[in-house]
Amino acid sequence: MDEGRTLSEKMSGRLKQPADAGGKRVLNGRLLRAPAVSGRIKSIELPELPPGMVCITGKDSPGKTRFAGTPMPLFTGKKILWKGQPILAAAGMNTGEVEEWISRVKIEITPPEGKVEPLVTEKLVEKGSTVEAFSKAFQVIEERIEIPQTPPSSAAQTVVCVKDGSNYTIHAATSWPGSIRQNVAAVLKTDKKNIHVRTYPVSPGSNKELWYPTIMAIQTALLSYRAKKSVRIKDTGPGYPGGDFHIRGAIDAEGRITALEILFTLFCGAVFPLEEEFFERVLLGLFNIYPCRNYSILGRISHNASPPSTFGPGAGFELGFLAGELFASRVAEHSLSPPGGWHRESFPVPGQAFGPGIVRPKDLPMKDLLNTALNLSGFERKSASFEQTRLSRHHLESEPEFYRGIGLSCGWFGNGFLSSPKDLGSAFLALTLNKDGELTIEMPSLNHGGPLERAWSNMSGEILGIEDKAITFTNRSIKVNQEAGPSLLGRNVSIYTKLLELAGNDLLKRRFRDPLPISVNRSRRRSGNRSWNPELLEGSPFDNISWGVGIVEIAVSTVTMEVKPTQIWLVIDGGKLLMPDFAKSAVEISAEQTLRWCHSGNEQKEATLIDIQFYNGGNKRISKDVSTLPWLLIPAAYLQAVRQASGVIVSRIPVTPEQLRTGGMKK
Amino acid sequence: MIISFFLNGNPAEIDAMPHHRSVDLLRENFQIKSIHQSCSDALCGTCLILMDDRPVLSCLVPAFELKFKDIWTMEGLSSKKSYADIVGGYKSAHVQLCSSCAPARALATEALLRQTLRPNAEQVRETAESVSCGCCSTRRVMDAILRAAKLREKRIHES
Amino acid sequence: MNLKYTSPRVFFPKSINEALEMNRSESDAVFWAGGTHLSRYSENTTVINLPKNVISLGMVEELAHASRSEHSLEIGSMMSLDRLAAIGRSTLPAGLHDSIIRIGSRPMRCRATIGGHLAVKDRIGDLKPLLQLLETTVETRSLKERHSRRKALSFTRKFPIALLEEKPGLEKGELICRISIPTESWDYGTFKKVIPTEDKERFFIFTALARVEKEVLTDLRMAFSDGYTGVLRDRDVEVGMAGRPLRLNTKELESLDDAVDIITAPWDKRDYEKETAKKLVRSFMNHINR
Repeated sequence: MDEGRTLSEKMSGRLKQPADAGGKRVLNGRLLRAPAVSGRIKSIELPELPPGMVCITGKDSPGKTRFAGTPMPLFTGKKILWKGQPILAAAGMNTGEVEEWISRVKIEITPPEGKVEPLVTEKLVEKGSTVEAFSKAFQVIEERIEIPQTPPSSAAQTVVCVKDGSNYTIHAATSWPGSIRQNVAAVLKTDKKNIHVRTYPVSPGSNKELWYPTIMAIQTALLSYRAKKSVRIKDTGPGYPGGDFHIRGAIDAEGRITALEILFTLFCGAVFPLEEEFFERVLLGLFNIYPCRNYSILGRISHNASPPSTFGPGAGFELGFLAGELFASRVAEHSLSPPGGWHRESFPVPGQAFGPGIVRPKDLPMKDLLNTALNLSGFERKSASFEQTRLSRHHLESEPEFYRGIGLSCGWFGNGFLSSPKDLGSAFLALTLNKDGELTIEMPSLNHGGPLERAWSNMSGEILGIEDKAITFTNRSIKVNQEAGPSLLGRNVSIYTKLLELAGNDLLKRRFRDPLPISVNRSRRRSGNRSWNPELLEGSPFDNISWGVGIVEIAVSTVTMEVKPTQIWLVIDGGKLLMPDFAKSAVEISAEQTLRWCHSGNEQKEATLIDIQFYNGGNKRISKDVSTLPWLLIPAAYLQAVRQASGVIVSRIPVTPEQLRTGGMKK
Repeated sequence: MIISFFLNGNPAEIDAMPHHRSVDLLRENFQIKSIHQSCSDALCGTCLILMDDRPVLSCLVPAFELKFKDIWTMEGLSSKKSYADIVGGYKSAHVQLCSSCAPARALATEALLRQTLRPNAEQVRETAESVSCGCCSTRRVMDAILRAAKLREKRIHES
Repeated sequence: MNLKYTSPRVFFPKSINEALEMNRSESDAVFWAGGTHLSRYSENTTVINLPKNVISLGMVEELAHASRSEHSLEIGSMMSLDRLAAIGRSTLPAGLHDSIIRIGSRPMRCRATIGGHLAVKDRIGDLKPLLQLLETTVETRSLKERHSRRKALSFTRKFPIALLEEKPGLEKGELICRISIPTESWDYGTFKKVIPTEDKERFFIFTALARVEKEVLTDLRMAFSDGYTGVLRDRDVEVGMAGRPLRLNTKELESLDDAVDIITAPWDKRDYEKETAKKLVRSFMNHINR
């Protein structure tokens, strides 16, 4: 696979995108969205449809679509669940004509009587005795953090349904083609074999293309069925959930966390597919890596009248870790040891479980990662000096232009899914070596010349002694598309790489024994008797765990209170790195995106220096996700640094200059 | 209204509504697939075209503004020899671009290199930030632009 | 039929007079410069929401010219902000280059014109405060009807840019043709735009210029803007500061703080803006005091 050629094709616009599918005769679809937050639709008056135009409403859809058991409505019924919920979809040859027709649809809405309270579900998780632990506590430390739900993204996606007789081919950037195939077939009441999915690369470093492309696919398929023509829909995507966390912890004389009392609320929109998975990841993130055997956690999910959210980059970890690690940094601050030392002493020892009861791997690399990060950044020295400046600033004759701060954060990322529904955990791939010695790799979600695909191609080539150009990727197989779970949460790298390696070695054994062509299938199903107990939160919840330590140094302008992140150090254990350059680039991208999540209102003229080190020790046989860790490491370290520099206890991200100013620069 | 202009060096003409967005007009009527309208607020930059040698957002340009203009897109620019400098610059900087923003990044880089072969840090940063996409790091794109400039300069000197 | 989807009429005048005549005959027509404001705030549909009659100024060559005299830059109103920035940091008056490159992205500035930037009525352009301090003037042309004759009389007006903010401001049918920016040299110049919250539409600008001769502050000008309330400036305070020997003492700086409080009084409940305005002025004065 020639990297330069692929790049050249991308840059010239020759590499096809979903929007290019189907040629000139594709109808253009548009959605009409609910103008009100809530209420009942009293009537919809549709203007006469011009020739060649079609329209579908809630009445034409057979009901709710499901994502691993979570229902999601395609259109409004009588009741509007959120502002912007689709009411109808129309398609025609001329986009302007479709938009004009939609603009003439008259909708009468009866406003709700009184205030509409959000539907709140809650779950209490308890273990040990928090009452006793708090009564014996040497000190009690509290932390609070608020992370707002992000509004729907302004980035548009396009999904095309190409109709050919009774066959429908959906072109979409999705990480879950199986869900599209299954749901479109169910809605059209046709056999799954008539539904094909052509996948396109998803956004790197995020998990947003989970359920949303499926909804768009069903809408295009329904329009396509009605029009008997191919249809394209372009629409904007969903935002990410937010949360509000209050943590109270009992600390013993040695600075160890002996008990936690946590109250948190997640804001995920009116409906939220796979909310159980999300909730549990938030929960585990709150403990981070610090052992805690007594806890009482009340978690709530608020289904407010905002558009449904999708998974954020860590599918909940980014919220849990931010709150948990911020709390841990408070504990470290109040302990007698320097912050780095507190973290080092608080890691689980061999034989001790971490968090609520997660099995500690024998070769836990956290101490090594921490030591490397501390040495690289000069953390202890800088932290002490910045702290000294903070404490003595009232003695200064004139204010400097900036105050500096530095923060430290430890974290881990669970690759794969926690929840039990079988279709989330399944993975399939097939290798076929044909008579000409060409290898075809069938996988559900492809990366189209992307670095991961190149790495897999190299890997298979090395195992089988085949040149890169003789290797092609496809996802045409019904099985891989139909039954595989979503390729996100690091599953691509951790699970598919392993399956590919196993299948390659199997093929190698059979190569000179069996006649060509030879096909080898490999699959992975999540067994029911996993070593994870979701009630007790004990065992091994993930396929693999990536580990990391992050340090962030910032400067706060004393004039405008703008925050300028000056340098970031990330030390990461990602196991066997398939392509070190790509891994570094992926971490860098996530780090830049995370910084944008952390603060706003900046006039940043210079880029933040990002120093990335990958851990050389540990288990090098498995590959693990590295790109999510910046989302789990940077925010807490960033907030600590801002608090140190500004002297203001900031309890909300993104951090804004106004927050720091009105918080008052405490002297 | 009838709108005549030059598209990738060739004369083009279309009868279109004057307020039709150029991005849609060029995609739908001239099969220019290198431009996309990926956002709704003129921020993503993926609809970038060169209009009389200047990079502009075609989502903000109504069709009537195309009249008599010289329009270039990556469909035309990628057939030129100098295109190799841009691909070379990005390749050597190990930038992983997605298909959606790659043409716009190439076009923004081309626009800068037409302006200067020795861009300063501010110009490089501005060019990197002309396109907003989460697929790559701004630092690496800036590095790629500088590498492309060096390749272009070398090519010009050698020829 | 939704009117937005009906085709607007577009006129392409080749001269200023032709543009003014077209505007006279189509009374509801609007002049179209770069169109960034209209296009950007239009709905995300396949057509841009345009007025019924549009007079595109893109082909009026007179409006695209720029020249430099001994004392000023004479800029045609159709010059794009990108071309204006390309004149260079060293040639443009202090702070002007910085203020231009903080407006949108380069592709936006390639479309946005200086004339359009100044003519937008529902928002104060980011360049206006600094251009006011520089004593920029605008030249406009319009047609005035005469009862006795069939042909209207062409009317030229030249006035300080600050009058654009005051009533009657730019009159209907009046076209900004030329902007004259004095190029006197300043020893100190600053432009700062701050966005205090996540809301990108809420911002404020501080800009200032100063001249120092033999350790004496001979001229000080400063202005604030939040894009909507108006360009906030107090000439009496500026005059009061002129002639003061440097370094300014604590008392003088504190009285300047009080003055800034009064100047920014229209930002009544915006504590961040008011406090930061004082800090920015202090920072600028500290810079001069050094």
